[in-house]
Amino acid sequence: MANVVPFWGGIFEEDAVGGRLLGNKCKSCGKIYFPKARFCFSCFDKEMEEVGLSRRGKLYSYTIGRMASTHFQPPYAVGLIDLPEGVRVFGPLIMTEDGTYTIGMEMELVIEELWRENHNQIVGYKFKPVV
Amino acid sequence: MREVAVIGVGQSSFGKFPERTAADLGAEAVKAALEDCGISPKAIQVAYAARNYDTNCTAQGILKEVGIRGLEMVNVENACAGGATAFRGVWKEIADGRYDVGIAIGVESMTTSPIAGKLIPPEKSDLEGHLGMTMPGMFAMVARRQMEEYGMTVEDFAQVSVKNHRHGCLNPKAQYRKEFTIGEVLNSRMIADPITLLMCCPNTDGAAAAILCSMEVARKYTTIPIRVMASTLLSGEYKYLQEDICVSPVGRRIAKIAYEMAGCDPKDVDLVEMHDAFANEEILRYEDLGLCKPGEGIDLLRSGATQIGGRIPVNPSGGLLSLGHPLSASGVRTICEIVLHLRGQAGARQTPNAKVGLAHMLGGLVAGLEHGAVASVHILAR
Repeated sequence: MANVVPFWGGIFEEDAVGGRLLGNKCKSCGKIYFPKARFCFSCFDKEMEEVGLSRRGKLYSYTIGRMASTHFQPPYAVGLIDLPEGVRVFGPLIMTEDGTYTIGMEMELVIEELWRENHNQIVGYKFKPVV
Repeated sequence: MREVAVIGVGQSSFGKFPERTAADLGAEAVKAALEDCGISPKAIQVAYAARNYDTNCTAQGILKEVGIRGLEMVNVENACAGGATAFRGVWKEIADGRYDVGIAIGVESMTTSPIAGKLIPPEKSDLEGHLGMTMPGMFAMVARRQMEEYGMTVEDFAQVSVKNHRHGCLNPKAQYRKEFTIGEVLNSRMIADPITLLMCCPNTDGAAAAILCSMEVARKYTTIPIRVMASTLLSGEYKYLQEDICVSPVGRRIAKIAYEMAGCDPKDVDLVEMHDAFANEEILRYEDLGLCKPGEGIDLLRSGATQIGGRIPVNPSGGLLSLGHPLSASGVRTICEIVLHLRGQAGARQTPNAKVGLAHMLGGLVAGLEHGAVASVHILAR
């Protein structure tokens, strides 16, 4: 049995409903960050609290990689998703059948295997079009 | 602050040379720069060298090849602006009066680097690198927004590559001296939709060097010292995946600072050498540098103003797309090209009667900051 290992600790979680990203929020001005900020880059306050982010957002831009990246063999899709909290997230996209996406389309976060490494299943988040 | 001049420039061959060391490439550029102004290696008092990959005492390794040792040498890394950072380092030393003569070197051996033949990923500990972020991927996502919001087409992106390759044909130092049609650019291998191979700068080995000195010393060596009017360097803001990824906040701010320092306007600039790592990027930088109004970069390209013979030639050297992009060398190399035009020594690609030139560099992906973690603009004049 492969061990399931998150590709990066403390930035996403999976519950009964599905997966979501964990960002943080400035207690002073309310600005939300992903990845988490050590302090507020806007008002420089140091008091931050963890918040779970929306599971759905809108596709801001995307591309299909046709050459290998650090862990992915081509073709692979990646994109930028705007979450309602005012956060833009970069992540892999689940490939659509014909490899087409539309800017502005609704996307949903899923937790999936990203790659395998020494018998470990490395998991993380991806986004898929909401049909 | 003292006035500083560039008196010597030199560039190595640019291409793929897996059998050559960085020290060898660097020494070729340094020798060319020394010969360019006829200065003795013994006259050099300070050296800055930039390199991105496998960096370790870069300046010492290069300069020992030409008889320069036993002086203050500083090695820097600053992504694509590394060379510009080295140049600025020497400029500061001389402007501040610490030294009178110095050399700035940029060098990169991409074919022997750990990323040879790969797409450049962000730094290893970077979250996004693990999720499939690459430089072409980032610029591909920018390209999609340019098409969505600003009415640009893939043919426009291809046109930048066609233009810069045409320029490169006029430059004996260019890695690729070959003209391409828009169709050939669009039909070249897809790297990251809609960015094709010929819209990406190649992997390049090469080096460039510039010799700077105080204006007083400059007059001993040349009748046409090229004045450094503005030297600037700035890091990116906390504008992670900025609101409009087609706009570079740090790129706009640094242009403003540079024009103020030089005491001139964009309309005074006769030619520009800039970071065109990807064809679609050049159009955005027209706007960052104020060569046109925001949103009108595409009109400037389509008007033909930025080709050789146009109102404001951009990348007459062939740019990173055709001349090649040895990362840390490019920031010095762009300045060398400006110097040649200001002296009237740029041959077939000469900008007629050039008086003021601008060299721009932008680079680095760091999660948490705007993309373009570092920017530099230098303005030179005769």
